Amino acid sequence: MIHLDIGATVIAVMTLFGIYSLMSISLNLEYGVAGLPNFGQALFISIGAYTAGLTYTRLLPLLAGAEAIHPCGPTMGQALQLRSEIMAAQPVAGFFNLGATFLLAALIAGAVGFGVSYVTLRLKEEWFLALVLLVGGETVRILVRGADDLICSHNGISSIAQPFYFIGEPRSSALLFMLLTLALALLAYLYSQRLLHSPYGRMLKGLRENEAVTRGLGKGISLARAQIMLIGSVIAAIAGVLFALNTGFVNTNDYVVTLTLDVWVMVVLGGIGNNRGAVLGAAMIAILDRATQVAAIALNMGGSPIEFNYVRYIVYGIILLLMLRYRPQGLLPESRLTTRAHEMVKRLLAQAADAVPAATARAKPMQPTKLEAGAAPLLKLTHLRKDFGGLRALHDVSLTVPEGAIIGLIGPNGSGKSTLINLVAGAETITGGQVHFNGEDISGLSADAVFHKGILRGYQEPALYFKMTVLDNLLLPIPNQIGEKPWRAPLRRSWEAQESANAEAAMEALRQVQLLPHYDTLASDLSGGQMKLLEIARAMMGAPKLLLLDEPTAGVAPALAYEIFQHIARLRAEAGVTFLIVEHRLEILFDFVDYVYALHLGKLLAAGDAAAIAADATVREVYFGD
Amino acid sequence: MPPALLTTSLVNTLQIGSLYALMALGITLTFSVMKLPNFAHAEFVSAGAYAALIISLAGVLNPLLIMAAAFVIGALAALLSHLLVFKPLEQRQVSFYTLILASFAIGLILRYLLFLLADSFNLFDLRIAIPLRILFRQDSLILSNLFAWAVPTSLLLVFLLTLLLNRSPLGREMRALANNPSLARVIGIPVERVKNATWLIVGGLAGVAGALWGMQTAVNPLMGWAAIISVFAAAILGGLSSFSGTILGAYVVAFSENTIMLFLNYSFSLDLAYKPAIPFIIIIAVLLIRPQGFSALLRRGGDLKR
Repeated sequence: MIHLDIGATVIAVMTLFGIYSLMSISLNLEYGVAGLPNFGQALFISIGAYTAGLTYTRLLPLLAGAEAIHPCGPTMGQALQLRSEIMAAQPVAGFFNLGATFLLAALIAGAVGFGVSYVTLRLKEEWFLALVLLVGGETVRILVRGADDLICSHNGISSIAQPFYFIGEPRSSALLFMLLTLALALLAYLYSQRLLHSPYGRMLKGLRENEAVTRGLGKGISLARAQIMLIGSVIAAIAGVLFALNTGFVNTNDYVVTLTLDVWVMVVLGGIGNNRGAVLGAAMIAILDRATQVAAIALNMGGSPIEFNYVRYIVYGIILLLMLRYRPQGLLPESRLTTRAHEMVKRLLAQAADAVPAATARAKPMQPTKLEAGAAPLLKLTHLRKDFGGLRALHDVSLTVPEGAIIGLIGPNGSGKSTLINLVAGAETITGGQVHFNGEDISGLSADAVFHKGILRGYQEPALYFKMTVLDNLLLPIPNQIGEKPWRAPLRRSWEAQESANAEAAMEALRQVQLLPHYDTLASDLSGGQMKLLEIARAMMGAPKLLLLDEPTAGVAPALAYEIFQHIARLRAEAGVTFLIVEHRLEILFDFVDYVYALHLGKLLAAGDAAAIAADATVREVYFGD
Repeated sequence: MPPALLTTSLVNTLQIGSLYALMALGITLTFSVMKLPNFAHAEFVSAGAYAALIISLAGVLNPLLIMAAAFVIGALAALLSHLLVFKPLEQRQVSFYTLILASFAIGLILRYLLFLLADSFNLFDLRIAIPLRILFRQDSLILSNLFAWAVPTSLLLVFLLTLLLNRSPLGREMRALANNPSLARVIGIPVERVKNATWLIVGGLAGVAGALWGMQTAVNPLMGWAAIISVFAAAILGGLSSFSGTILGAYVVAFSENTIMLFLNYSFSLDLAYKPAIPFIIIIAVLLIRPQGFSALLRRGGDLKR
């Protein structure tokens, strides 16, 4: 029988739990919250560990006023001796060294994480980030192992003392180190919880759910993602420093792909996107790790020839597969993200209910009105052309949208209407011709740049953030949110006032489309018509000058379709928004539009007011087959 | 660089490039037909190598039988992965990253099962027991009977696979599936059967690659994983969609790792320890500069999505 020291085991497991929590919180921020597949977690952890290896052998003697001895080769023993002497006698030098290690590791890992993701996430496909980080991690490991002088190649650096070694009593120093680890883990947890409930967290979730829509709502997504990779990498590197201090040596063999997979197991097991789940996963793996170690020793002492470490990996692989198949949401599923704004709205609603009986706040639907003659052109397309391979989807289309107008764009399926919307919105590249907006050439701008010029688009299928609440859907598009900066996001005070004002604006917008009672509902739980209304309300929160709508009434009951157009007319009258609307329901469209362009096979077929188009023989031929 | 060294490195390029091609074609095929970058491919290679090793230790010394055993085990591993893991996940329409993660998990399980096997029967770093005969020897260049097996076999298999893809009904169905899965289903292609066949072929070829590899060097549970980065570099050079691009990519990677590396070592005394950086550099460069790889260049030559 082996003797099991309960106290020491508890301390060891708790320390491991703290370190693993940092790792899993880091991956959960990157993958769980922002959807970035970091398959190079071992790389960032190893950056922390290698940094510790370097500072403890090179910097520590300097801080202690001793002469550095080369840590590898023949002087290895001496260097080791020196390290232990310094750590035992000069705790101040030890702590300065620890601080420097954390700082340096965070700087390097942060720079690598930010740089790699900023470059890679602009590439053709998102999963290239996974590949680059995976391959990069393995390559760095092999190169470090080959670099003899750096961390003494295969053997690594041993006896990196824990910071509380000077106490002299192993149990107490281990306990203090455990407390340090747990404190750092708690800090990381609180920080990431705050991020999640801030406008920055909302934006990241938006990115995860629908990249194209988020880009169209004016968010600089490459930057936002690189930022979260920076934060995640820093946390991983700090975990790496602690990992090296805890094991006491730095060996390249520890930072292989299996470590990355360990962290993935924690996150998948606990619950993707849920910080509590990440911590739970870390706890379970810490306990399992320790249990397999004990089991391995017991088995080997019992004469079993099985190398238990291999069994451990097989078991983790099976756990991962079972979770992915039978419980992909993890043990603790992602809770619904409720940003601070929800509490504000709840409070305001309660106050309103106390004050006056809720008046029927429904906006008065607006009857069709017509544009006054002589409006200046807001959007001007000149000879716009789009080729897909050998197929020409748009042939030199030129058209004008006057300011304050509601312009219809009609044509049979495949006539190029959606392509035209995509080109104006910057969602696809232009083959030829120009787009002028407000007199400025905006052809070729990216989707988020086009948004900031004042153009917003809707989608044929409602493209909402279905896993977010109605309120968050409305708040996300608001430009210039202070809390969307990751360094401001944890400081609630700095953005709370703005968020509160935004929440009130959102309430007003919701009231007008009668969705206010549903502010806390997930967008996926709305009816089809409500989704369409929400999409229009959300677009209005981006304060656009021009709204491009692609079949705003598709799949909606006739009465509601008419109501949607009444809202459009109201927004034009009240907010001065200009509309370019692709629509098949001509009977409704013709009631509201000032002017109609008809497309056929990528060419402009006819243009005129509703009556003229309705009477146009060519249009009738392609549209109705008359 | 002395000519003898150059010749040796070129022979190595040919030898290793052929094996890379055999493995990388599997990656390209699974990515095109199954929409999956399969990292467990590495372990199909190792599994095949162990099958070859064990049957050779049992006394079967005919290279063809050895390769057949490797094919069967590789194919079985691949098919089981599909039926037990990938297919149920795909039916639940999980995210792309879930599939990647699952492929990692399969690789992990297979790799450590092989570790357990090797550990229990002491099968680490053994060579497949085909007797070695020297066919040709000049300076440092040695060509053995194994070289005479490995290179032509890889080339033949690559050729047969290309033929299968371009000329057979199964190949046509695979290409249809690569091009447009939902359309393929609608026009009555037996999607599940095509997928099963694809997995069998992919895993089998990986297994044979492992056997050929193990004949030339030694067999250990990490051998597949050690090659996977180079193999992915080759597949990425092929744009992950082009057959001929992948084959070309395999030789480019092997050439860079052998001839160019040796040249840099000889002329600029660059340490050979930097060799693992080469596929990484290739991957980064291709993704940044030309993510379609050679595929657009060789559009007519067997692009799966044509």
